[in-house]
Formats: sequence, C-alpha cells, structure tokens
Amino acid sequence: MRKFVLHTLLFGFLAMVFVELTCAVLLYTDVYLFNYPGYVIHDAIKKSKTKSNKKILLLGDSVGHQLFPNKDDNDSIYSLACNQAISLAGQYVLLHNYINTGAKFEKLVLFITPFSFRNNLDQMYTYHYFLKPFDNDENRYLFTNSVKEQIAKIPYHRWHSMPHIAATTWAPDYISKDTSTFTFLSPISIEYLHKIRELSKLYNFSIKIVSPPISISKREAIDSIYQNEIRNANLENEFANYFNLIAYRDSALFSDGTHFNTPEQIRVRF
Amino acid sequence: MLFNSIDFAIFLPVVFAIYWLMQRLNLKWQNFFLLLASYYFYASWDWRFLSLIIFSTLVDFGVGLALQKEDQRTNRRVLLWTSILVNLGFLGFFKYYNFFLDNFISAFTFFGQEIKGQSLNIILPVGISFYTFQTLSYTIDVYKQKLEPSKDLIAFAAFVSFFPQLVAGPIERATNLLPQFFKRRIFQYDQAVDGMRQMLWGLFKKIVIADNCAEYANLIFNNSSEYSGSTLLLGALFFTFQIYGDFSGYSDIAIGTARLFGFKLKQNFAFPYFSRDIAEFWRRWHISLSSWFRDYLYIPLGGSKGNTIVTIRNVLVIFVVSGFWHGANWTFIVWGALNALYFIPLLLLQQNRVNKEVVANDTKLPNLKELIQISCTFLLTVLAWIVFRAENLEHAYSYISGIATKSLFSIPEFPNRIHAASTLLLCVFLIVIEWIGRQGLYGIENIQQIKTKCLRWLLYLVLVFLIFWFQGDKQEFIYFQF
Repeated sequence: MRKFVLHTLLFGFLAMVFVELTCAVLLYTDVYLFNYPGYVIHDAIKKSKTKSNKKILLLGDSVGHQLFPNKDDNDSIYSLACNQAISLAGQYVLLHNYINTGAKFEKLVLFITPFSFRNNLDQMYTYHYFLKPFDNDENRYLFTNSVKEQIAKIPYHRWHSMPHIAATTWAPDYISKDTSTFTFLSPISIEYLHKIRELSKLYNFSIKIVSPPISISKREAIDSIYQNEIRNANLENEFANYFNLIAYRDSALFSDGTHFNTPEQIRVRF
Repeated sequence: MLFNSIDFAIFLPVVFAIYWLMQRLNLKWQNFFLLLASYYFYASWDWRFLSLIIFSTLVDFGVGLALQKEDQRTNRRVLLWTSILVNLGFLGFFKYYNFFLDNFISAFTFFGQEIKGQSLNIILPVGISFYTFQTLSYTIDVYKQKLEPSKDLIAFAAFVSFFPQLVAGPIERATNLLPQFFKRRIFQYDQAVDGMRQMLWGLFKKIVIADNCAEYANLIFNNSSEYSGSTLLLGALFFTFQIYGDFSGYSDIAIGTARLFGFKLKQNFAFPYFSRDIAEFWRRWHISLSSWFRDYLYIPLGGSKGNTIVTIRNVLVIFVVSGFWHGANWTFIVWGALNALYFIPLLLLQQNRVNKEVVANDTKLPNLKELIQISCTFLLTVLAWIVFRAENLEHAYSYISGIATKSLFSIPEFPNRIHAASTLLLCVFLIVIEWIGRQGLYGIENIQQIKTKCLRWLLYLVLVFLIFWFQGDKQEFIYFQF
C-alpha cells in the first residue's frame, strides 16, 4: 500500500510539472490557439492593438463576427467583432486598446443583438471568454467594481492564468444563481456604455448601436423587452431607433435561431 | 458526480484511503462504508431517488430469502414475479410511461377515437436501467438455484449500489460480484496499478475522444438539413466514436475504480470496431447487457433450439428489447431491429460464431479479407448509429437520404476545420492504440510489458497531457440517460 501511495503521489507530481511545462510552451508559442475555442477573441485583442486609418470601428458579438469577421479586410470598416460573452466590459477594453494605438476614426458601431446586452459576466462562458483573455494586469485597471464583484463570484477565478487552464478548454461549470432584475441592459452593460460615451466625447467619434438582422421567431421575445430600461439608464441617444431598425428575417436563414447559415449572403450597411 | 469531475477526484482518494484503513476492522464495516460511499455518490445526483434503490434492494433481498425457504413451485413463481414486477414496474413508470401513453393516444386517434391522457413530467432516475437489471439477475439466479441468497443485507445493498458501476454499468451478475463482498479483500499493488492504468485510458476515451467528437456530432445532427452528404457522413463517424469513447470509457473507469477497491468486474467492451461481422460485434459491444439478454431472455425463449422461425423470432425479440432498453423512442426500437436484420442472415447461414478469436491474432496487421470484413461491419454499425442518434425516424431517414446525394463527394464543411481534423486524428490515434492492444482487456493494458519504467511513465504522462490539452466541452455520459 505504501509503495502504491508513494508512486501515485510521485506520478501525480510529475504529471503536474509535465502538464504545466508543456502548456506553458504551448502558451508562449501560441500553438494552443489551434485547439482553443476562444481564438476569435484572441484575434480581436491582437487586432485591437494595431493602428489603422479606417473611418468606422466595429465592435460586436458572434453574429457581428459572422457578418464582419475580424480576420477579413474591409475598405472602410475595422472590425473587432468577436463574441457576446466578453460583455460590454470586454468590448470596452478592445476599444481602449484601439484608441491607444493612436488610430483616428469617425464612427464606432456597436453591432450587437438585443440579447447580448443582458450579459452581466455571469454566464457559463464568462470564464473562458472573458477571464482568460481579459483579466490580466494590462486590463484590470479598466474594470469597474461591478466587474470585479462578478469575477469574484466565479469559482477558480484566480487560477485562470495557470498554464494548464489558460492553454486548455477547461472552465468550471458555473451558472450564476443571481436573479436578474433587467430584461435588456445589465448593470455592467450600462456602466460600460457610459464609459464608451465618455471616450467618444474625449476622442471625438460618434456612436451608433445597431442590431444584426434577427430571426422572425425572436420577435415576440424582443417585443417583450422592457425598453424603459434605456431611459432609466439615460442611454436614449445611443439607442435611438435601435429597436425600430431591427431587420427581421426568415427563420430558415438561421442555424440555431441566432446565427446565420450562410452569413456571406447577408448584406448590412451602416 | 461525474467520473471526470473535480468532485470525483476528491471523493475517490478519500473513500479509497478510509476503505483500506477499515480493512483492519472487519469485512462488515468495510462493506458498510462502501455502501455509505455509494449512496453518497448516487445522492450527489438526486438524493430523492435513493429511496428507489433502497426499496428495490429490500424487495430483492426479502424475495431472495423467501425463495430459499419456499419449496412450492407456485409460491416460488409468485415471489419471482413480485421481484420482476416491482423492478420492471419502476423502470416502466419512470422510463416508458409517457412513451406508451403518447403512442396509445396516437393509435386511437389514427382509428378515429379521441382519448385523453395526461403526460407526466417524469425525471428519469440516473442508472435505473442498470441497477434494475443487476438486481433482477440476482432474483432470477436465486430462483433457478444457481446462487445462494445473501443473508447479509449490508453486503447485498453494497452489491446493488456499488458506486463504480452503479449508474452506467457494467451490469454485473450477482454470481460474479456478490461473492466478492463476502471475501476479505487484500490490497495488491499490481491490481491497483492496473486499475489506475485502465482509469487513465477510460478518461482519455471519454474526455478526449467522446467529448471532442460530441461537439461535431451534436452540431451536425442538430442542423443536419444544412449540411452536405460528406459532412453528414463525417457527423455519423463522429457520433460512432463519441458513443464508443463515452461508454467504453465509462466502463474502463468503472472497472479500474473497482480494481482499486479489490473488486474484479467483467470486461464490457472488447474492441468492437475491429469485429469482422455483426455477430462478433455484439459479442464485443456492451457485453454485460448482451449476455444479460442472452441468458435471461433469449435462452428462456428457446434460443436457437427451436425451428428457424422461432429462432428468428427470438433474435428479433432480444434485439428489439435491447433497443427499447436504451430509451423510450422508436429510433431505439428500429436501431435494435436493424441490428437483428444484420444478424439474422449470419444465423441462418450458421456463420454467427465463425469469428470468435481476436482478429489477426498472430499477425500485426489484418489481411485483405479481414480488412474488408472489418470495414463492412464498421459501415453497417455507422448506419445503425445514425438511427440511434436521430431525434426521430423522420430525422434518421432525412439524415441517411442527405448522405446518399452527390454532395457526398464534396469537401466537408466545419466551423473550425483544424480542430475537426485534429479530432479525427485523435480517433485514428485511438484506433492505432486499441489495435496494438487488442489482445488485452483494454487498450493500454500491454504497456506494463514495457520493461523500462521511465518509458512507461512517459507514455502515461503523454496521455495525461493529451487529456488536459484536448479536453472537449464537458458532456454527460450518454448512457446515463438510459
């Protein structure tokens, strides 16, 4: 028995060291990205640190990314669209990075579906899509207290930068038990929309919030959104006509009710 | 509590340590502790259903004792049927109530009669199909006087709820597992190391193969109308590996865990995808269930001893019942019938027991004939898995029709091709390792023959690394729903 326990402990120790070291190498060389579902976010972060002279900066969720992939080049639009799971806090970090490159742009388009504004960093994807890419020394000063509080609720939130977690797809099974008091705008979304407004005044660009086309099957859910939340949050200007301009499309065009089957066939203009 | 969870990673060493410390006391205390650990393990899913296991245990324990005292044939039959009705009654209610109700209503509606029935929102107790069959085998064996009934309630209850195989098998026979609860277990280093090795291989199959394949299988099956024939075929292949990795992985972890506690469970999978015909496949896939149906259904029905029609009927019955055991859906029934259709020609031509030995027993590679046989059997299995995985029969039909189109020869479409390709490569890795280890009880059993300890440990470390790096999105074990 003693031999078995000793060998198991020794193997466990060796396994820990081996896995940590190999994962660290994968992280350092970026090889981990080919097996990493959040690579779209990684691409967006990398691109946000590169200057361009495009007139429109686009931030968005995964539908936004389908229609304006951040890998593609566009004559007038610089897309950093990636995923709703990064929340408005993550979008703000991307914007902040881009401004820090010294880039001048005229218009910021937030190309986001109505349901994405509900993100309050309390989702099962928060660990993987927000904590791992954004929660680091470089960005932490941009986090509000609400963000810090939400992060603190997630199990193993301090461990996400360890190589065997950062380089792999592991994330805790976390589903927030908080009951939300909002139907459209989460507290974190409100805070960061205000912060984005401040930046727009400081750096002189306009903000346009636009929804990607939405399946007709979601119309009822969208109609039930309590739009007074916009007024209560003092964001009427930013959301002027947001709901009125939503283009509803045949549900056959969508693979899961949200994402398009063939996004390349969808045309959107700002 | 999933085997691939942090909870289990804490639970297992704690239970292991206390269990072997209790060896100094006596066997009864050790069994009692195992029972408590098993109940805790089960309660971590849903404590309310513990009452079902306890009730089922008490009924079968009581019936066993009563059968021993009873000599009259009629009374013995009454006792046997009491156990069967109680066990199958629970199973029928929790698993099949809504299915039968819906089908009765549909049948009456078809004939122009409107009847009303209230569907119930029933939660299926995890593992009910497994422990029900395990306890049934006990009562039937006691009835047939193949087994002495247990007089020790604690040992019997520990046998029924033995946590490594409680929720998804292997379905152990009382004749194999129950006596082990009455023997003093002695810790053996080699046995424990072998258990750990089998657990490692099981975790690899579950976390790396099954969970990664599940991502694509789910995507393609859930949106099958959108995809080309080639993508649909790949989706079916992904599911073929998912279900194997998932279920055989669970069995490996269960058998390995049991070995840590000094128990020996029966092999449940014997490299089924290397089978040369469907009969061989069914001797190698979910062995504990196939042999259960053979011994408690096929043989009592007359097996192959009657005329041809009776034999065909018996084969159809066990395959259809086996399909139905998997779930209350017509897809499972048709899946069972399809396998019967594959099997019957072999039976009629008396070719069903030709391939008993391990394929290419004396050579490293199969010959051309064997390769063709393995490929054909594999493709038939893939076709059957499509029916098994489909939401309903219409979906299965449209999926298969979707494959049989010109687009079968187009390039498959995936959202993340590099990851999909790496998942396929991992499946190839699995096949290669299992081929090399096909003469053992599980894929990497033969690693122990490597004399250099450093090399052996390096191989284990590589597996651990692959488990960490390639872990897919955590999925429940498929067979929990059965």
